[in-house]
Amino acid sequence: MGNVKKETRFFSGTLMKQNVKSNYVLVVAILVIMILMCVVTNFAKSMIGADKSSADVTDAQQEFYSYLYVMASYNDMAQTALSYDDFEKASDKSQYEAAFELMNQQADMELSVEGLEQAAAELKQSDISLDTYVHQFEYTYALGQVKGCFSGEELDIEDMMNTMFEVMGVPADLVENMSEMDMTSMLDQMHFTVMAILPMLLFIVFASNSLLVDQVDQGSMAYVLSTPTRRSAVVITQAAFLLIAPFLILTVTCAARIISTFVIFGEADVLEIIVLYVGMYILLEAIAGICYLGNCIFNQSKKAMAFGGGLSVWFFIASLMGMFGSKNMVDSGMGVEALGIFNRLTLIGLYDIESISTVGTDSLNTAFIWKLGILAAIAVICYVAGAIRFQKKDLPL
Amino acid sequence: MTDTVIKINQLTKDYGKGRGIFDVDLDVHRGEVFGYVGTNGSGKTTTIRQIMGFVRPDKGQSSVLGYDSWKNATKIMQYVSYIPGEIAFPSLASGTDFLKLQAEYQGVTDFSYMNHVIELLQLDPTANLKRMSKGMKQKTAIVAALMADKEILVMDEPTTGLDPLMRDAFLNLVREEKEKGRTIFMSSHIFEEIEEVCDRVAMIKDGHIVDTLELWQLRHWKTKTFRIYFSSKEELARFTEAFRFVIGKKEAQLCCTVEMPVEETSHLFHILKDYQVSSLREEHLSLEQYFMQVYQKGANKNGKC
Repeated sequence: MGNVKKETRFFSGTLMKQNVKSNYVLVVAILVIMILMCVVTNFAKSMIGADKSSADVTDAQQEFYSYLYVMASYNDMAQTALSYDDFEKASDKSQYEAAFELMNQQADMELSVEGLEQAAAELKQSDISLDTYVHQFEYTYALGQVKGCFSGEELDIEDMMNTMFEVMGVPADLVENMSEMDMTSMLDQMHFTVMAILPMLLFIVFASNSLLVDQVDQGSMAYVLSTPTRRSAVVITQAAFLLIAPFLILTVTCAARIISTFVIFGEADVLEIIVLYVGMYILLEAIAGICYLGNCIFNQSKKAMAFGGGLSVWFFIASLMGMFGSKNMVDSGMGVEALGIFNRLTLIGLYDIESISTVGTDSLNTAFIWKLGILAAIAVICYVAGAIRFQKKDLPL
Repeated sequence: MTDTVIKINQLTKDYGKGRGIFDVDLDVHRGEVFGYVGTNGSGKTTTIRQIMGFVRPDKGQSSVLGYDSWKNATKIMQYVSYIPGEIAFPSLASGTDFLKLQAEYQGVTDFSYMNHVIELLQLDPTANLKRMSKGMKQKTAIVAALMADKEILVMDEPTTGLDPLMRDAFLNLVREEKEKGRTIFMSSHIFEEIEEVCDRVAMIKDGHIVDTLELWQLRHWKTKTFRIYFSSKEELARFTEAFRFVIGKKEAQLCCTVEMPVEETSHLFHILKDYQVSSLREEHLSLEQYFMQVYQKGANKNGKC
């Protein structure tokens, strides 16, 4: 017979072609969602970052307040009515120059009209208006003069605020945490452990199901296995698809993340982003391995779906609950520490965003490496076990 | 000694609750069309899955061209084309897409035979694979299996969904294949088509082979049965007394049934010259009737054990 074809033992290009043809719509849809989401998260990060730019004006604020202090004490001394409001409007600044000159001589300082203008200009870059700063200074100045009537200690504005919050039932350290809360890292954690995981989990559950068990359940696998294509070639090809497709999606998404970070922030920690996505890939492969194993064990699509899909949903929900137990969330008052236990009940908990975020800094925390190692081991074991099982089981074709 | 292509030996696959196949023995010889009949759920598909090596046998073995079905499944596939009983295609856009991929799997580069089959079955492969009617899907499956033009054809109820015209076209195709010397194993529960094309038939019931018979035997029976109608009661009585092979008579209808060895046929006609016969009919035992007989017997036999 002229038509006898050599048997395909390890990899079937034809089957891969078939996989691509029947799954590319899903791949493209998930890819679009992933890219959109990572760009949106980056954009949201930049918005938070803009809010936080006020943190950079502490120096200017200090400087500005010392000018205001000088003006206030000069007013007390010389019975004048200097104020920043007036300073800004006045075309003739000689009065202020004179005041600063005097103070320079008295206290050995280097005050000047230009200095004040510069400090004000810097401070204006924050979103908070100068009027608010001036008003806050008025409180600070007023309290600075007064001592507590019982304690005799000096009163200051921060102490007053804390006291007020405590009266309202809000712990003082929470207020402090809130002002120092790192919204960007929280957003990143949300993005990498919840938001970006969800579409990828959907992809893995649906794609893995369509690769093996669905074709066995429906019977279309017969058209592959009644040709000189070994079962080993089928399992290897399908595993390869399940390894390659998420890799491609995450590679493109990673590139989109790096590019959008450069566009939005002007700089990017490329290494950290790459490690984040490599970590996510290993995590997803561990879950994909579990789905693949279910696919190889069961002959009924719904059973495999219940196994792989059920575990994936559990991992996701547990990760969501775990997020509310994470340090960031607890610090911000939105989480409860007890929920942190969920991070131990999901594979996603082994994807350690916090320690990965130390990549590229001096205080590198390598805890993420062994955690990813566990995930990689799970992936390998599941893939191998599944592949062996599929070759030995009865197929209803 | 005929050349055995498919050999099934004491094959058992027990799915529990009496389902499965038990101690099945079959030999399919080179160049013959082998029919496999049985009711739904009697084990036809299970046997075929064993032949194709999709299922591991509990006991016994099945081999194709000397290769063990389970251990050398892939080797077998180089010589066997398969039409599955269940029509399910991979999720591809069109029939053409599917056939192209199948050609690639099988290493088919010469499409002339495939086009011949497509023409014969009047298939439009460009249609959407999911929207195809049952018959269209079945035709597509037939084309996919036949295009590689392999030595052995295993078909699980290949005519389901085909209209009578297409069924005839398909049976012609089977005859064509047979003439080329191909070995064909087909299951069916439609007796007419088996009767039309098969050389031998095996009957399976509740997982047991109840009978294997040469259809040649059925077509050329050793005994012949006739039903003879006479013009009057007297004539009928006179005949039944004179002829010794009468096995039954119905006076009201003026008829009797005779069963005798084939050699006696001319003798019968000779005698009948002297009687006033109004009509004469040969009672032909169809496969279906034969099947029913055997099946009932088998039912009694299996009922006991």
